[in-house]
Amino acid sequence: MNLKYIVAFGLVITSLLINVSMPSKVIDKINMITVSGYDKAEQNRIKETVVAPTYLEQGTVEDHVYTTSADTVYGNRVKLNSKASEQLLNGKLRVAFYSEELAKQGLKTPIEFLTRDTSIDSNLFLAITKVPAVELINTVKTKKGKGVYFEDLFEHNIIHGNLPDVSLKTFEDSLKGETSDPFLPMFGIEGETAKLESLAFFKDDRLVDTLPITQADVFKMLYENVGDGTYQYKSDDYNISVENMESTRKITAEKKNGSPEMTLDVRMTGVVREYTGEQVMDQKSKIETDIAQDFTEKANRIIKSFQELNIDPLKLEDFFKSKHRSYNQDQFKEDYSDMTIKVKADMRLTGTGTRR
Amino acid sequence: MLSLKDKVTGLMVFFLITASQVGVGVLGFQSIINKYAGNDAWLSVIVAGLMVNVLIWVMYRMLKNDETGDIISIHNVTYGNWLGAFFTILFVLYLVLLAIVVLQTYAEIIQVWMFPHLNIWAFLLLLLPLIYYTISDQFRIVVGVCFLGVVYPASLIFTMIFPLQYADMNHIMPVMDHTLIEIVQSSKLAIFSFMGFSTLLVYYPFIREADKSQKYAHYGNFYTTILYVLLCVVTFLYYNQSELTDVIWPTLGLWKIIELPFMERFEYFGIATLFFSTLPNVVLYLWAATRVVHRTFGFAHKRIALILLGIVFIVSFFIEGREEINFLNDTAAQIGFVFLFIYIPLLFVLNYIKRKVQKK
Amino acid sequence: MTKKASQKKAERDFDRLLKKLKTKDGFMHYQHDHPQGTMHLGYLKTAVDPEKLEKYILPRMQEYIYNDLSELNQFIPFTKTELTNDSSQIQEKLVNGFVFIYMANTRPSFLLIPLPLDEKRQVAIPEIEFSVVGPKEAFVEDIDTNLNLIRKRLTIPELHVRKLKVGTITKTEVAVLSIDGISDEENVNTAIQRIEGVDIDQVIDSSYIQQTIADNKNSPFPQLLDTERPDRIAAVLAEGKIAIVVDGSPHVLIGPTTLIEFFSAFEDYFLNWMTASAFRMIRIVAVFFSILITPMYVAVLTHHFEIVPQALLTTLINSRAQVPFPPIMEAILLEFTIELLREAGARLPTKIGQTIGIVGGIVVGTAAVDAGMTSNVLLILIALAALGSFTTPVYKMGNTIRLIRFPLLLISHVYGMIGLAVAIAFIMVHLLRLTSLGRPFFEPIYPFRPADFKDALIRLPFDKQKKRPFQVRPDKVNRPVGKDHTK
Repeated sequence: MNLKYIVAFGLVITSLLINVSMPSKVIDKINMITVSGYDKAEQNRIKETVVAPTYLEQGTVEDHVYTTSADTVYGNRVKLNSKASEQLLNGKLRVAFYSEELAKQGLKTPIEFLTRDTSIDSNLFLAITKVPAVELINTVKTKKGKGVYFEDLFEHNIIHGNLPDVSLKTFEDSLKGETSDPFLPMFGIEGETAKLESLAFFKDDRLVDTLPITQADVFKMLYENVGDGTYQYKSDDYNISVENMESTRKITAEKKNGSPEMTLDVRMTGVVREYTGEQVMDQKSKIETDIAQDFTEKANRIIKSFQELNIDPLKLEDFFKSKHRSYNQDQFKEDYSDMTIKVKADMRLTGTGTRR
Repeated sequence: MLSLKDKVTGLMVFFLITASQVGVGVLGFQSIINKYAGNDAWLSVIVAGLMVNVLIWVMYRMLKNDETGDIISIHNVTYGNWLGAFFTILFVLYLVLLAIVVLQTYAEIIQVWMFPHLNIWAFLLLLLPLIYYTISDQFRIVVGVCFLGVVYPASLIFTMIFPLQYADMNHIMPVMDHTLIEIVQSSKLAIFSFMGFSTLLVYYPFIREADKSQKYAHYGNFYTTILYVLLCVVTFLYYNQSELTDVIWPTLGLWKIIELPFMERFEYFGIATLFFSTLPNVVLYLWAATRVVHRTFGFAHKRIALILLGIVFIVSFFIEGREEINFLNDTAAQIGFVFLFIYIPLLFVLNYIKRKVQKK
Repeated sequence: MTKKASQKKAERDFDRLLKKLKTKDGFMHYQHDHPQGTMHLGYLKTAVDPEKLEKYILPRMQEYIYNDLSELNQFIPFTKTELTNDSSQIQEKLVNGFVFIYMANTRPSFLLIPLPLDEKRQVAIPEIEFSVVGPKEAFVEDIDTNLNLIRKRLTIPELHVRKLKVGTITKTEVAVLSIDGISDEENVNTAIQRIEGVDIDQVIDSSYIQQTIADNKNSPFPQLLDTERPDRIAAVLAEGKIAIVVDGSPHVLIGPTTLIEFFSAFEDYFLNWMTASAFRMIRIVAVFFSILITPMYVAVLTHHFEIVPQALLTTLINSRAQVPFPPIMEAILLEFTIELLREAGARLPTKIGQTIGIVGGIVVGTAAVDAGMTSNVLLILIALAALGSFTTPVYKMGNTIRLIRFPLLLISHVYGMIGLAVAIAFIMVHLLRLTSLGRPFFEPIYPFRPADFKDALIRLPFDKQKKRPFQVRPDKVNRPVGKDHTK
């Protein structure tokens, strides 16, 4: 009986001894990349910039920025390792920037290595930069670490601002699927600060159009149900600013005379935050209709531009496909640019703050 | 023949059936079964589950009418001792193959996701004493492992809530967009995830009041089916079809996005917890194989266990890489399909005829 | 032989015996001559109560003339006297505190009177299983007192005490208690068989018995529960378990037992059921935490840094900033330190021990962190884990828990979380295999008995506890509630 125990023990020990030489990634002996940026370099190479923080006492973070260029994206990593004092690992990558040129050329290849790596979070944020990514990354000077800075910027804009939910997952989803087209936020620099400037729309994986972020609130409400949005409306009579908006959207599709017709029905509720006219309550229904009309106009404009470019970031095709068995992909794509897409908007003011 | 002390209650059949079916396949089956049926593949899962229920019914009929109540004696009754032994050996090889497939697949997942430089045979050296420890003694320890292997990983079901945040109903619609033929074709692929229940043919004599336990077996299979359907639906809601064809392990992708306050990348924890789902599979197959050899040839149970484990270990030296593991998986699936849907009904018919003839 | 010859032989035998006894240290001999013959009185000074001897025995001997010993016996006011001819028992009886009176030319020739000197501890407060509410009596080393404490609480005649002697040198008295009609005969027989089969020279304490009759001697888990509270014994006997009392030990063994019982303090029954259940859950969570947290720390920091959320990352990395060792070395070093502190604290006398405890705990800890030998996060975790291992009311289980942590540390260093899962699976299989007096150890989790859960992880109120736990296979499953229990 004892022999069995010894043998079993021996096997376990052997197992441990053989595998103990596996390389380990001890947490303070590695460089975790938090932000990476990609630019186009000469001769079709890609330039990569990475940010690896060192954590100091009292919770401050000091970032080291490294840059190299190589043929493949991952080839950069190899070169960067020769510059960094500890091994660079992707596990904590939170934001990846791609320069506008790369985006115009096609993002499929640069994204590739992000999707194959098992240690990368699907919630990774992607963005395009108007200026070279290197510059953008370097403008940010913050104590909490560039990674955390950007990540927080994205997150609060998604929850409270005009940015719809974008991540590596949604981008991949639209990219791989043939029924919708992806979009990403676009950053630029204003003065010394990095700024979320616009939404960039893609056809397949190439950048084709942008929409300034201030107008993206309409897009967001067309794209998804919004939980905490804002809306500004200016007319000759008054300016109004609405906050705490919640919106729901419903899409209906019908077939009229052989070609599909889609309607987006958006219902919004909100609280008045700023109003330059007299008492809100008197004008309430007029304000509501005004806003609804304004929304419809803006929405129609946006959709028209999509149709002209033949892109579908609103996932209309997806929706149609799921509801109609008679869906035929080629047919739909043909019809798309001429399809009638109506927008119905409805606005309800639920409160006016603390004053009437 | 077996004393009452060695037997387990009928309720345990529920856990035995489920534990032998749910295992490492849970990580990747979604992207395999959607080959034909696409977004309706979850219906294929239901179809597969129903077919397995029918098979369980067939098996119970065979076992109830047999004296000893296990496949060795069924073979002997139907074919006579020599031919019966031959078929029994084939069954043993099939079980050992299943065990090898499960072990290798799990080890490969660990190698890809966690430890790229893992030395697989050395890792197996760690698992083999554990397996031996479980199967060398009484059956009830194996049952205990199965029981714990169902209860504990059941908590993973709650993790399915998280991907629903990103769910898009459009991915699943429209329902029934595929022909029935396509759905059935996908069912064939889905059967592989249900296959372990054939060990019922070996442990049936160990169940107390075995004939009354049939309903538990059906419940167990039902539970597995629901689990798979749930997982399938959530996966399809999260991923769209074209993405899914590229992704090898969709479930791990589902776990990737879970963010708890103290833990971010949940898939590492998930894989470790899934070990408790995988272990019952391996343990059950190898125990069944050991028991069959013991019953047929009479060698000591413990010695057979050692030899079988040795075989599993040595085979692992010859398997390397995704392709070979895929090949093993496919082979096992094919053999299993033939075994379950062609051989078992055939056996049932032959056995029935033989018994009727013998009665006269 | 003629009468004279046999008498002479008996006399010679006695002379020989007397000579041998006189060489013993402490042997007192008193000879009383009277017309009928001589009476010899012998005893061991250390074993006999001199007060009773002088008060009751000596006057009786001296006052009257007796024909033979049985007459004398009638005048001796003790009940457990023995008349015998057998001189071979004399030495054993002397050690046990008997006085012998020898009268020549009579049959029977020896009269043995028990006058043991009682030196035992007073019944005191339980040290290990102290409870804030509830009785505070604890067992002492004398078996008779212990049995008395139990009998006091179970005054029914069905309480069955079987006595055995174990140990070739120490000849320790062992009593096996059970309640007829409730406990399963099989359990009792197994226990008795095993105790009788114990082949050991000395049995000093009940833990000797615990280890020698254990189902699996190679398991770090104790398979019999031990307790120092008589009220707990009374309660478990009523459930159908059996108790083993060993002379010389203030701990009484209980079997068959389950893993869950090692986490229930008897105090649970004195509190309200909701509070009791909450405390039990806390205990179990504390134990899991204690076993797993340090290996998890090592696993995550060595292999899986991606798991750590961003906010925690800064804290962890900062805490490790100055530490030159890899996490595994840190962890082993700290564990070793805690064990050192515990062992040293156990060996030192109380007054010094307290100081060392404070010094060790606070000063060494802080200094270690400042010097950069360990990280403060790990220090907190290990301190909490050590505390967690002490929450088990049974001391032996606490030790086991601390011991299990070491192999887990090693495995998680090499294999990360997977290794942890494999190691936990290994422990689980081991627990599944364990039996206690032949009954499965892992009940009620497996074999799954939902009815027994009422007293396992949570404690339901008394009116819901109408059935006895299935694990002990009691003969009568229903507890008597307000009815005659013998039915």
